[in-house]
Amino acid sequence: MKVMLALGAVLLGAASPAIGQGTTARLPRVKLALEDAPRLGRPAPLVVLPYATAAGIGPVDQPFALGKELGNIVVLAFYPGDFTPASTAQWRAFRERADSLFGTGVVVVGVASDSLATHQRFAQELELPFKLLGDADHTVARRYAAMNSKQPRHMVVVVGRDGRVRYVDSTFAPLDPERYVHLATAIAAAKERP
Amino acid sequence: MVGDLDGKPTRVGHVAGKRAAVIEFWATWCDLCKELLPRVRLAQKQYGDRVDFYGVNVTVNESKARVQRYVTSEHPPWVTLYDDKGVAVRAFKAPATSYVVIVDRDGLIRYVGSGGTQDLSAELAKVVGK
Repeated sequence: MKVMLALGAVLLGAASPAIGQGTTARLPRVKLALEDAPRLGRPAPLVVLPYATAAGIGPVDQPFALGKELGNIVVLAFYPGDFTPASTAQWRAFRERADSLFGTGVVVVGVASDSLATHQRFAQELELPFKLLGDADHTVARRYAAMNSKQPRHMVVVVGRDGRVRYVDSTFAPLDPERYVHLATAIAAAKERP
Repeated sequence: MVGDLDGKPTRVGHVAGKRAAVIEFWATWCDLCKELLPRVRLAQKQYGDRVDFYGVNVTVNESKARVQRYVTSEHPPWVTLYDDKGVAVRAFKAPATSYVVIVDRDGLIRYVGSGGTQDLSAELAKVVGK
């Protein structure tokens, strides 16, 4: 929504120069939002966040950094929060179908604002073999335009081996079997690329 | 059109104009659905003569065999549907398991909710009377 509003503001500004200095003064922030939202084929926005796994909380000085995953396909899965029914369904599905959905050479990480301790409990309870990133202040969710009004929505982004965005499902529906099919297809397509 | 466990297609929306319907989106692994089940049983006992009850299994993290075993052992008080294509999930925009939709006999959605403590009997009383 933020991006759409921003785009509208840019178009309005371009089409209506007489609209005045007030509009022009806001453009730098608008431009930033447009540059940061994930767009197919463009470099994925920055992700550097602390994480937890079922085994424990990751080292503070070694956060998950998307930039260090070049050569791997990365699935960023934004979700509203640990232990919510839909998120639980999604992560169960990711765990149970990890081989067919992701296969080898794919790094799957969750992004939500829960504390790392809660992330660890969630990962333990569901026996998740994935890292869950602690995006406490929604910085990365905002950067990826993954926010609803106050919390992240379900959104899945596939980042290719070259660090570029290859697939975005901005309204991922955890109960819809078709979304998993689309995701698996997107990952398979990403694997075809060098 | 969603199939039952034998693959027989059922048009959930077909109830419109005939009888009210309760549609619950559920899964065998859903704890909230288990918590809600006694309330579904009570509502079906009270209103089953006037209201159709459908249990749409969302099929995510399920197998048909597991659903069949659950239905055989628990006898949930609904017509079980197996939504392996996500048709009903998309049609009703079901966000989570334990999501319940009540449709009146005119086909209007009169209630949506989720969770294990939904008072379905009270909601049905508003729709079809006591």
